[in-house]
Amino acid sequence: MAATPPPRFAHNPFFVLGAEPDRPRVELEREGQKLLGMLELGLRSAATYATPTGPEARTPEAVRAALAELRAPEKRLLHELWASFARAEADADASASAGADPFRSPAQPSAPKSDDDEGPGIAGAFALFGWRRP
Amino acid sequence: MSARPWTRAGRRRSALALVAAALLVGGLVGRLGAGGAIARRGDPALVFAVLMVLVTVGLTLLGLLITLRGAFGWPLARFVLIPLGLGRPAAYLARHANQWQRDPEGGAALAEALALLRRPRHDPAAAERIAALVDSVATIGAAGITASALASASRGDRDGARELLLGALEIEGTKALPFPQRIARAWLIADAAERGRWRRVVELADARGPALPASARLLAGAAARFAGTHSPTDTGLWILWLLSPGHKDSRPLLERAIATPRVLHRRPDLEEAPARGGGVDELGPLPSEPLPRALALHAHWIARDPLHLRLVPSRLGDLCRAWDEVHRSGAARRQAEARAARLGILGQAEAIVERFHDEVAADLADLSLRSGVAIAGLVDPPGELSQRAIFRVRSQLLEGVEELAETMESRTVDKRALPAVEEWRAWSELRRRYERAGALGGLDLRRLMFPQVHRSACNFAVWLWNERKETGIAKPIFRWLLTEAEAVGDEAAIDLQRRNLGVKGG
Repeated sequence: MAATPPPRFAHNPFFVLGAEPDRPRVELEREGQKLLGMLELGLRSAATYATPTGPEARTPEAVRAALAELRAPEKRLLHELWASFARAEADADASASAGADPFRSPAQPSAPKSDDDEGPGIAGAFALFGWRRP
Repeated sequence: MSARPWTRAGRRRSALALVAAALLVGGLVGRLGAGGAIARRGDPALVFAVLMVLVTVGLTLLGLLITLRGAFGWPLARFVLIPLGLGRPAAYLARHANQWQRDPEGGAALAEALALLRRPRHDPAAAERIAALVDSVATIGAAGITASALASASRGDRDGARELLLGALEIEGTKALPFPQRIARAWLIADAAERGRWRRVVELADARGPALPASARLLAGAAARFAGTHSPTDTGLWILWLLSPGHKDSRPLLERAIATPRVLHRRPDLEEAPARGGGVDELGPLPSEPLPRALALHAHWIARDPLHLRLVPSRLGDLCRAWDEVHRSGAARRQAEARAARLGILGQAEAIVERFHDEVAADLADLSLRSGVAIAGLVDPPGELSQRAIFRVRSQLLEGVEELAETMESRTVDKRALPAVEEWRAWSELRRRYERAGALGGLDLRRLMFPQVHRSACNFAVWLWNERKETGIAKPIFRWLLTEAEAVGDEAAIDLQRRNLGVKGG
């Protein structure tokens, strides 16, 4: 079963622009134009953006779509709620174990074993019966 | 090319043709051989006597061949033709073999399917022949279902094959032959072993049924080691390995099993006791404020892959509690109102927060469905957002089951028949969806779903039984309905299904 992170994280306009949710609209527009310019020049620093669900590729279309979304105040407010991570990060930084990323566990959590997770399987199990692997 | 169904009339025609052929051969031999010399001497009585002798010898030889074909055809097909991937001759011999008298077409289809699995690549023509043979069966049995499943596996449809083979193990009656069920179990064991589902391998090996092939017993022995259940000793594993074919291929499995320590007592079920809040600890430090905390957890779990291996009940419970706290504390509302005032949309803040909460509930429901972890019961008492998620999950599950049940019912009413294997597939899909919904929604949801599923499935099975004579697949449906009726306490359904099974040989 493949993970399908909802676009509200991966495509959140604040993450696309790399901007804080409480930044004024003018600043967001400026940030967007700056990113568009950087993308046009092919700068690698602008090619991706960080989200709580992992890095995403930044394209001029995504930047323009993000700017368009943020021009509607009611849409912007909803995106702000989903992007309230800045505060989370600040809290985490202030905590004793500085540097820990609240979005990412330090390592993959070691889930308790389930029936589906009992160890690596046998690659040639069907071959033992002389059968072709499906 | 499509295979001819081997009906009783067809057999009679073939037998007559064979007798005629024998007479002709006898006659020809007589004419060309000794009979010709005697005929030249002009003694008609002697000619007739010699001809009769020759015909008798011809018929005897023919009878002997037929007997040999019946007695030794299947061993020849199974141990020589199938390993060589020669599907057609194997199917021919299987069709006439004594072992497949109760299901000759199923046996032929299974022989062809087993040969197909031996070939290096999938052969669509062979798959078509298998489908034609299975379609020609008057009443489908375990052999037909297993053959269809193996053809699906050969095509690459592994999930479909797995589902059908599980169905083949449930077939009852005269067509529940041991060989196809043995093959079905062996394939399922290989499939589970390849996916590392060791406990499933052990379950399948321990289930009642025909004796397993040696390779399956070796896999089961090794799986018991890996799963930490009661397992054979090292010597036992060596013996299993020596008894199984393909020593070179199975040697790594043997070595891995021997390298795994043997446990004398079953390990405690780790699923039972994931520490409450353990998932949160693994996330590292979390924000203390409700909204950022819930968002941090949310973002962590929404992107896990494979989710069903990681999001165990305690972790989903933590996430639900975090969101319930957001709702209870009004954290999102306060933040939204403060920001709405600055954005000049204060009047819309309420609706936006509601939409935000709905999206949260939708994500929680999605996480529950994807991970197979039920929210109901995790949070006691459930808060507002958990409640909304539970409702969404139930609605989606219910809709999924109702949709299939309605399709089945309308097909039954309109008498739109599908090939027997497809009927079984349709039933398996409905049952799988119902059981999954029941696992997530609990007994309440099962009670809610059962009346409609019972009506649709019972009418469907009655149609299969009465009009289509598909007793092999109808009976397991009645049996499942009875078991489920007892579980949900539906007295009328229990009565009906007892009568169905009792009257119809249950």
